[in-house]
Amino acid sequence: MAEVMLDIQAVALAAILSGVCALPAAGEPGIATTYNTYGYPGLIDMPSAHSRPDAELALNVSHFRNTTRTTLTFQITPRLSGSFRYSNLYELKGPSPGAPVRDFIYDRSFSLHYRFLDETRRRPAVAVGLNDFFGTGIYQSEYLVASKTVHPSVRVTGGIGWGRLGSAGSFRNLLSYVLGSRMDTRPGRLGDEGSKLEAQNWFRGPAALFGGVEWQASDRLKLTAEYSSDVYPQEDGIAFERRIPVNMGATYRLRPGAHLSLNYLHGSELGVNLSLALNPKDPPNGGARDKAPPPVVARTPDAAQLGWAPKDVKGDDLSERATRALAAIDLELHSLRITGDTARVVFRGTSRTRSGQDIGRTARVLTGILPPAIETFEIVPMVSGLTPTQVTLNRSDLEALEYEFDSSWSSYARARIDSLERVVPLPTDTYPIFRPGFGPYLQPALFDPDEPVRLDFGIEARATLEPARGLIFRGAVRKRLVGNLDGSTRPSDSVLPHVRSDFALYDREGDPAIIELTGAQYFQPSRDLYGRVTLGYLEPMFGGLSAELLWKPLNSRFGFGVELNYVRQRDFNQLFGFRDYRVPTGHATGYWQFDNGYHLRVDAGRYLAGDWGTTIALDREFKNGWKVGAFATFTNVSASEFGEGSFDKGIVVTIPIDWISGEPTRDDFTTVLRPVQRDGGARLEVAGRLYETVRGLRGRDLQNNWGRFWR
Amino acid sequence: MCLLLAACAQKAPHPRQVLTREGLNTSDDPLLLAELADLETAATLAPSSRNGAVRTWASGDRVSLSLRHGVLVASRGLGHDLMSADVGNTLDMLDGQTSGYYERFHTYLDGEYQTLYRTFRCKRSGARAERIVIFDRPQDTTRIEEHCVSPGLKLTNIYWRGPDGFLWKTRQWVSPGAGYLTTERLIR
Repeated sequence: MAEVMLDIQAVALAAILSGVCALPAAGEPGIATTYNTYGYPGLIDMPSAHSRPDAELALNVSHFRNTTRTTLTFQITPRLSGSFRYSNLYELKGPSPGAPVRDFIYDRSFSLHYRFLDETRRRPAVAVGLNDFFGTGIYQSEYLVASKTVHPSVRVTGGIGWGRLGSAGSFRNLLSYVLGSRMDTRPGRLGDEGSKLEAQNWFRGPAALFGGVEWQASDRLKLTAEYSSDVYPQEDGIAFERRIPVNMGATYRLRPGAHLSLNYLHGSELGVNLSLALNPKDPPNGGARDKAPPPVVARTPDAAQLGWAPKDVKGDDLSERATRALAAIDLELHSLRITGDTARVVFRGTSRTRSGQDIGRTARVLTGILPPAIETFEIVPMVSGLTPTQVTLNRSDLEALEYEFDSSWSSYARARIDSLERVVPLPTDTYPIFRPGFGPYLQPALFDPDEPVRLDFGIEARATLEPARGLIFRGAVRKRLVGNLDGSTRPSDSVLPHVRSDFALYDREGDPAIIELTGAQYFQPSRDLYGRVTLGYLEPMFGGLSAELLWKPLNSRFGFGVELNYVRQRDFNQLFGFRDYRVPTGHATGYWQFDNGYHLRVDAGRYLAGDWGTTIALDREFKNGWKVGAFATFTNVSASEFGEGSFDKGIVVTIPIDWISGEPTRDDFTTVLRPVQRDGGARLEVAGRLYETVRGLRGRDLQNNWGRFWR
Repeated sequence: MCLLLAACAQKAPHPRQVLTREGLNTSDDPLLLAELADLETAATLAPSSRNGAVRTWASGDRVSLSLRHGVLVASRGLGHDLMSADVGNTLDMLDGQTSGYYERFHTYLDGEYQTLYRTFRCKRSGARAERIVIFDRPQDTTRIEEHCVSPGLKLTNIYWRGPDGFLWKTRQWVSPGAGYLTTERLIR
């Protein structure tokens, strides 16, 4: 019996967490706040009021007899954390008395923990929390909890719980005295699909008290005892014996961010709890170890008098030298043109988070190449043939600021950043550009009730051909080497068109598979307006035509886009054939960048199954390229038509590769965790969408990236 | 010269095992030996550019150090780099123009590549004559210590200064990640 659990979080994140020493070496002062067996901040089984450090992302695995919980928790703000939990439960009683015992189930649940009062000298920290607020309800509970440090190494916690946390030693709900007797009973669950916000139950029904004491015995060792208000109604007597309502535990800090707990639970069971945490704000290797940049080559004061006028220099020769010098910093020259004392350089190869550094390095390259009489540099980064932005720098500023203390801010203040009016004809002989690529790939399939983790490993060949500016052909082919993605035999029971739920058939029959084979034309109709038309095999399951327009003003936090597609479903073998299903699909999308690093995207439109609705996606973005976000899609497909899960939702994590490895690279890794993949609210995937393509060169992102200008 | 280049390559023997005074005497090109004990790395560096009073030195594997009259104002390619520094008061101190406390300013990049300012309060401590030997060549210097404090951090930079003010050898703090840098001027 496979009690050792392998999970996606384990696969994707543990690889990162174990490979790197994520957090700074400083110990955590005072009493360590750690994760409980549900993976949110707490004692052993019970919650506590304090939070983990802002932005921490933690994987928590806890196991005791017949119960394994794997939880991914993100400290969304300094006060709010959110968790996604995947539980393996054996020998479970049914939800109602007399229901048959289930040998084994997988259960998915979400939790939120919000600390609304901070601890002061007189007052405890106080937090409120919701567990399993739209899962299948096994762990559904709510709590209000307070924690107070009473001695430098002792902290006491007390709280009141409802639902599961109000099941042991319960009493009449205190809220009934205020809100009336309707708070006395929990109405129970509304449906079996899960994923409804079961708000009618919150803080209702009997309540119970819980509490505990934490003693920080040494720097690394914490001992905890707690009184539990959870009777484990579905487990007790079958999965294990719950003899006493007291749990005891010892938590040892293996290294900063890594804790191992040994617990004695319910007077009968031993349990272990391992948590591994990283913080996107703290790269393990101090960030990318880029090689030293080219230095500013300062002009000697009398160089201008030497008669080195621009006309004396052959342009071809300069372009050749600039091409070589840019290649040394992993950039490509598109064109270099000199007019009077101004040089305009257009280069390719920058990315969303490295635009500041790439512009700064290009400027320094130019100081080493261009004749002294040239004073103004117009630097134009090009992405997918688009040139959204021009950065104008004075050469004398670069010379003066290179070793100034405030060089970063001063150089930003003196730079002129303009949105380019329209496509400027840029003569160049650098086309066609061909970029082949070849490498391994890893594709997981998650949360199948028969096998929660399936994994394929294989090789992928990929190529890009750009015969002319902005015309981009992309292709990618995959061949599986080993894996068990083809092991899924569970047929889709979806009543909607099977736009996504036949993924097992695609996995089984697509070997080798053409993942992508498209031609795209990018264009710039006017200032701040960008366009794309893509034709071909857009993604593994659909092919067709996709057209997009994006309006993204230079210094606005707002962006707006429209995308229209007409697509046809591809054959399961993912070669050149199509199935019968075809659908027009498309969205209007608004993008909003908040000041504090949050990013909101709202799509409204028609999804692949022909359903109409809205997607809301909220990301916390870090300036080093990390993103942690959640999305949910609500369409006119009813919960019962949708099936398990009721609506489409999930978590997205983007990790820049240079954050992990320290090696200078512009690539990142994105993973989407969906509790369940159904057909409602499914959106078409298209490579090279405009917003992520151009945003790194627009005002806000460019300013965020400017710290690396002199790097 | 190939000896020197070989010393720059990764996994190469420590420059101290390779360099000799006879070898150094065959060249007139300025050469700097830099060692970072915390990063367990050492390399010889040659001048790559000059901007005003700041000279930038580069190693074969593209690490660079920028020195203003021998005092570090920037590093690149280490990962935990010193982005910029205002060392005007330190230079005055070395010239004997400052007594008592003075300030020193550094900038770094944090984990999100945003500029981080760090201010130090510093004081000269002791200056005594010391004869140092750099690859068999003795050099008479004045050994000057600079004690600096910043919240949560205490450091001591050491400068070995020739009679003409030239810094033959230094030990200077770079960053929390890179620790102390030791420089020795092998060829002036």
